[in-house]
Amino acid sequence: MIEARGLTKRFGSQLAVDDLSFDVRPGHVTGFLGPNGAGKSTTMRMILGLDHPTAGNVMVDGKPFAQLSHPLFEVGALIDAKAVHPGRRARDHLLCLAQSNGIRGSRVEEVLALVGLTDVAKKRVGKFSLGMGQRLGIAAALLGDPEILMFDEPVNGLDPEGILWIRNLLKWLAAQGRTVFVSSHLMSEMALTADRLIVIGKGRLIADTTVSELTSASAGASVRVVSPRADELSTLLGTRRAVIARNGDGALDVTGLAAADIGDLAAAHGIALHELTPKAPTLEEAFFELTKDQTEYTTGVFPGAEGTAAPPGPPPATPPPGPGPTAGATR
Amino acid sequence: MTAPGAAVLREKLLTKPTGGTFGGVLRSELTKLRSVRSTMWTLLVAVLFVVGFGILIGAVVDPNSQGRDFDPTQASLSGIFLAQLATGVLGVLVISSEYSTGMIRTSLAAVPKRTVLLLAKILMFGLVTFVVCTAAAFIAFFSAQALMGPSISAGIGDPGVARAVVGAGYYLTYIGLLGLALGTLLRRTAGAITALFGVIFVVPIILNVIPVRWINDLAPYAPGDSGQSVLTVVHRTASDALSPGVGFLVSLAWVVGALVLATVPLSRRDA
Repeated sequence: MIEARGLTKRFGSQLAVDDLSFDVRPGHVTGFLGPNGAGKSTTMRMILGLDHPTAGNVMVDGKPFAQLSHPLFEVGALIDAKAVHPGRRARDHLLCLAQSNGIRGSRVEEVLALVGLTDVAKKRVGKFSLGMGQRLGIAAALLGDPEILMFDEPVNGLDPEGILWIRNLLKWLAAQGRTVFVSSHLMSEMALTADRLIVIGKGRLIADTTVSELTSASAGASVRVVSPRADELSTLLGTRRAVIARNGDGALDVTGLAAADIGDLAAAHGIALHELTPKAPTLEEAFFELTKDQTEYTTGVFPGAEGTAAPPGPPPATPPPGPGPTAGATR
Repeated sequence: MTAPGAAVLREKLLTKPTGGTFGGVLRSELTKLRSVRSTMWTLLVAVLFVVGFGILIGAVVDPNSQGRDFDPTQASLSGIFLAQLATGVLGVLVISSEYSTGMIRTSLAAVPKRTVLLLAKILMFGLVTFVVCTAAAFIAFFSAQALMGPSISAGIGDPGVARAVVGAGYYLTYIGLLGLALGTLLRRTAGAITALFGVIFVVPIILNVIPVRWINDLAPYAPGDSGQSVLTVVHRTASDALSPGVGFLVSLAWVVGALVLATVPLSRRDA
């Protein structure tokens, strides 16, 4: 369990993390999502006591990290796969970490085998590929068999095989009841691995929710309706304050009403429906919706490439989104 | 999705050790020291300088042209003036390489109490350097004395001689620990090495060059000179160097002060 309360970090004039409060609970993969520069790494560094908060605090199992007597038994962290001495052999790197927490030396061989680095244990880590470095960092995180695991952008720069391996590892660790906290700026990745989501932008909490809540509550959720009496239905729906957009193929995209309500309304008026499909936006769309105003570095639109800077969003009929309607949002 | 509380189903692989961790942190620092090549190379260089210079001086010294001021012990240990470059750099690297590589973040995630980590580094680096350099100093002393011949050589049992030979090991460790303190304060390898050798080589020049008597009188108390006076056996009549005992205490004050000073920002700053 990780508990952040009013966590704030200021670097000079820049507020990197702004009054952030959240809990990371056991038994889930909790995704820590936000655009680049949102303050994810700074928050993780504060959890580990590497950076000191300007205000607020964060507890790990009820204690500040620095007060844990054998921290590797409580928290395993992969903050940066390059945070190793390149001249040291993989086995010695893990050995010095194990020794510092009184972990038996044979555990080093176990974690090397677990991440598949046994054959290169004698290699100096400076010669490691990015994927091997990432595995070494994960081996180090698993040394103390900790209840809490924290990974900062673990799939960054990995090949597809490596990404799959990390995904399965995260799920396996959470299935054992551990607290798994993983940051990413890739929404698609979080859609595949995370159960719960903590979304931040410009250092502030935007949403503390689940993946399914976020996608269904997003303003982009719409229902595709096909009916032979589309015009009639359209008028009816209009009286219910639904927003209707007509597709090229004659189908209606209805926003603001649930599929069940649309079906009931059509039945009450004897209108046949040929199709009634709720369309949940992808997590990606929901995320962009949430963080529209929160990106640290807004990019310009490339001339002649309309829409490059913005992702393919929901149809223009969408009401103006705000951070408000997100279920479970704490602010 | 797994229900919270499934943790009870998992068999714990490890049992947390009871009691303190400092012994483990010390072992960890020894592993760190021995597992990078720069440590081995710098210590080897230090040994070669100490032993090599001892042999060289023992071989070239002319027994007939030495006056009453000749200190055969100190002469046989002259290699320290070069070896201090190696141990000074190693002392800096012990901490600055952790910052330059990012290893410090991994280290602090395992040992979050920063003063504990620094203390383990001080003790382990100090112990290894002292043992290696003192052994080298004894080899240098005995080879040089054998080569000088009985008319001018010193015996290990003569007054102050054993102290001076051990003092050579102390001096090299002392310079290394000053480097460790500066490396902790500055976090940059190049900056800390520059500062260290500036303090040892440049400060005495400045103190002597200013034509003010009381400033000149401070020169023997400078970090380099005070540490070197530990190696003196035959006190030169014209020299204003500190006695070995006073020199030891002054240098000890320098290194303890520097290390204590380094811990203050270490705990306050972000890693």
